Amino acid sequence: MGFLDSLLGRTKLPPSKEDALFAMSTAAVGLEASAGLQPAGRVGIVFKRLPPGRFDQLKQEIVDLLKLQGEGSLTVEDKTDDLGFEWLILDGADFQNAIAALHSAATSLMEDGLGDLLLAVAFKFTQNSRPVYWLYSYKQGNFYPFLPIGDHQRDNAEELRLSALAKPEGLPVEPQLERWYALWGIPV
Amino acid sequence: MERRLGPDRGLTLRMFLTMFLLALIYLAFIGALWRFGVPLFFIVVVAAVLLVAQYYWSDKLILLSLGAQEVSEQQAPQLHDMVGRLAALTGIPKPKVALIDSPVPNAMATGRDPKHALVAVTTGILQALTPEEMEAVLAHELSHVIHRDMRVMAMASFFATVASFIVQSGLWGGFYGGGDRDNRDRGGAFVFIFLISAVVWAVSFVLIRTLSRYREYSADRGSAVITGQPSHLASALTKISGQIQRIPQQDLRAVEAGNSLMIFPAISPGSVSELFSTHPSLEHRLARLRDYEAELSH
Repeated sequence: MGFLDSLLGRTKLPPSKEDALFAMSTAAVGLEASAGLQPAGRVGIVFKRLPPGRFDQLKQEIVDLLKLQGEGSLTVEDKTDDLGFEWLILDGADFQNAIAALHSAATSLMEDGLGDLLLAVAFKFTQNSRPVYWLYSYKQGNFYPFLPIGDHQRDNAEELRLSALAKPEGLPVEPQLERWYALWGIPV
Repeated sequence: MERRLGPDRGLTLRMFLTMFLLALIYLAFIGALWRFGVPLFFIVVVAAVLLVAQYYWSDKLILLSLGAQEVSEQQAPQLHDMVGRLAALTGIPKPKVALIDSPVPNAMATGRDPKHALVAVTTGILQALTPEEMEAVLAHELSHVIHRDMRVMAMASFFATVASFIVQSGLWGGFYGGGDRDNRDRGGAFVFIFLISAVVWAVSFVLIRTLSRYREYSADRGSAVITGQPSHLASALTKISGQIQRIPQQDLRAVEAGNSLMIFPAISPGSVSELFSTHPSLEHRLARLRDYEAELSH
């Protein structure tokens, strides 16, 4: 939001930035070698829900679109979390195909003027059999790691180490730590 | 295609007009002070010190007087989750979260900019509202943070503070008390400056309160933009107002200090004319929210 918007009290949700999302398809390979992160084959996109009605119709169209793109090789799960956000989760895809499918899902939301509802994409990895997430923020247009260890606890040290390892792999990492928003109860 | 709320042009225009009038009267004030050779520099420096102090510490003082306690993610996980998610969606850093132990259902946001923001809610509001209503209230508070309302209101009050400073020092016997009595114009000039300051103080008070109400409408609008569901805020406000009216006066007075910052002032309705109050009346806020709902659904 610009100076004038805040002076005149005009709230806008920031528009979505999608360009950097594609960086994960190559960076994932490097991260596996350098940080021991195994892609877990699950990727989820999360966006703010609107009241039922036309919104649910649109969401169903997107789910159908994702299924079509998966050509039967991946499954699509649809979940609403406790905070009123919608998760569409792709299971069984490699990240490259998943990103292509999510791109078309995000595009159809944007075409309907709902691009500002997009929050994040969560890429699930495993490291020594514990889950590790790389989150892509549509608002900031870059990535940050999220390592939940128990209830509302995250492994900050490992997150910082991973972010240092990710930069040479060409992954744009969110520089402001206060924007590494936690997504607790992540269903991905 | 889904409908989304954009900015409210009429509201923006009226807000701009109010700020313009405020700037105009302040300029006239400065001109008058300068014309009569008031030690303007000295007064502005004193007022600036007062205001900067207020700007940096007033929110902390209010939180202290309300007994607000910052809570960790483990202490209030659901509240933190909701604030964090809305912050992520609006692209601001996640504000600090505090709880006020009070049965009066209310919520407030403080902090001079989004990096230093804090959202405080009472224990009463957590019990009173559904998660959807709570989200709408928090979205209203985050809108205050996004609009930098603490900063805007501090700037808007600056010369009103100068004017009140002059009026009060005049009442105490003033800055023209001692010294050169040779100048016969001095007495007349003093009365004139005193009167001008009093008028500026009074007029700017009304304008500042008007601006404050517009900021509240804007935060309501912001909540509707963020949640996409104005009716959630409407039902939250109705509940809060209904509960406040049922709470004994002495309990309300305990949270009085934060009234101008709260989502809903804890005073009995109709006790202050809307022209002089910091918040629009419940009826007016609900009417606007109904308009937003209509705007979204047709």
